[in-house]
Amino acid sequence: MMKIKNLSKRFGTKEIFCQLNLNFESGKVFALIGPNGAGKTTLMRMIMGWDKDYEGEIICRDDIRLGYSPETPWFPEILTGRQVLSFYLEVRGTDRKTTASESARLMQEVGLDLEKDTLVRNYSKGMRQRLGVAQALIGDPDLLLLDEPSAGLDFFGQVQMQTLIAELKTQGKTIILNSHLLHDVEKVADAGYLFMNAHVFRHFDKSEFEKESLADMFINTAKGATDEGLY
Amino acid sequence: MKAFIKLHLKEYVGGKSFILFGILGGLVTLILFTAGEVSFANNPTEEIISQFGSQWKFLSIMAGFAAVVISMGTIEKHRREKRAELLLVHRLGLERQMLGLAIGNALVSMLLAAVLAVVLIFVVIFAGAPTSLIGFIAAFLSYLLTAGMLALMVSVLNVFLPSIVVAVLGVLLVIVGSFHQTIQGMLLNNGQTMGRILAKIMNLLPPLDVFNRLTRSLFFLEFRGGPDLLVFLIHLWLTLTVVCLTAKRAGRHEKI
Repeated sequence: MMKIKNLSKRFGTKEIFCQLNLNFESGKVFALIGPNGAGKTTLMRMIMGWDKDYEGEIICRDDIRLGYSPETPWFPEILTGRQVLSFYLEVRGTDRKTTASESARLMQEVGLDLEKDTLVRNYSKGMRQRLGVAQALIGDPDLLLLDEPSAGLDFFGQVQMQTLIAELKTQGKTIILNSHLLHDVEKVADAGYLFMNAHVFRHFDKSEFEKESLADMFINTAKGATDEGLY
Repeated sequence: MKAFIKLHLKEYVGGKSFILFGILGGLVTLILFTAGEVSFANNPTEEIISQFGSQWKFLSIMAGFAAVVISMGTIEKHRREKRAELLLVHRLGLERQMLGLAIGNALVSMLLAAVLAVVLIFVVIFAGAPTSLIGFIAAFLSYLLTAGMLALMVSVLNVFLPSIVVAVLGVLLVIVGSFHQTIQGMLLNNGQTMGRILAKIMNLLPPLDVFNRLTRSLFFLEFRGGPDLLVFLIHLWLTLTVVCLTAKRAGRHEKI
């Protein structure tokens, strides 16, 4: 689906990535985990094409369709959930009839159909995050980037988000998930990348974190890097 | 871009501020109407010119301030709330986002200017103003376009400067613009080099008093303002060009 080759990135004097190589295969859920400031959101912004100030290559099909849900998605507060989706569909130039049916379908897909006519300002954090995923699903994306979709959610909200991601995976979507919630990642991810800093990162897949918890993997990687003077 | 402008109008049009401005505009119109009757009781022509002339003048200044207030923070808010990113995902490029915001601000400002002048419309109809339908429409259009032009200028300023600075500059733009010729005259009469330089620099600012004179002359059907119309059109063209160039820059630098 997408390959990242020899990616290097700096913010001033701070090195964020150094010769990073990543591979995202189709139909899988990938997690990006690591401490704050490790560059996870920056990587998402680079994939989206909003940050082009880097060296290396991001290789994917030219006609790839991308969907993105930021950590705190912006929604016009004066609109209802369904109107928000209609707005983004109209921005894309979708005709009126398709807009109506598609917004209803997406609200149902993320489990917000009962709240479709509620103003967004009255949505809970969990509902907002699901609406964020719904807008990311507009245009039937091949690759879905979800930045902290469960951040700030209560346990019930986290379970709902896990279920939603699992459902999207069954539809064959490739998902890149940026999350601090390791148990969340263990539930839904097939593989992922652990970023510590520009020089320390590791790939992991499901078979590994079934043996060793992600929390332990995180701690051991940090400890190993510290021993080698890299972290 | 149409959906984006529609949303902008939905967010800013209506509500308490519009009602408040309607009441304010009405009060100013009625006060000036009554004041004109008292001051020129023995001279009906002077009375009418004073009444409607000052009404247009005050309404223009108020509409200018309203345009500044409406437009001063919209682009900064757009940036702060990270609205641009999701719109980019849905294929609304930065150039069109910037244009949408500027046009949205201009439309809201023109609507607010229209609300300010609602009572004036009634006064024109019922007090028998010395104008025709075409004269009134032309005057009203130039009044609305002046407010829209100010909103566009303030929107462009907000691309480069923070809202608070834009607010101060916007208010200065309205005050200096409303007394443009008087201030320029004072600077030239001063005779000093600095005065002459400042008077030249002032040519860059929109002469709102000239635009207002155009509005009044259109309204009173005594249109001798060819040069005023030319100045108005040149400023309108320049403003639109600057807005387009700023939007293009936003698109090219991929940054609003």
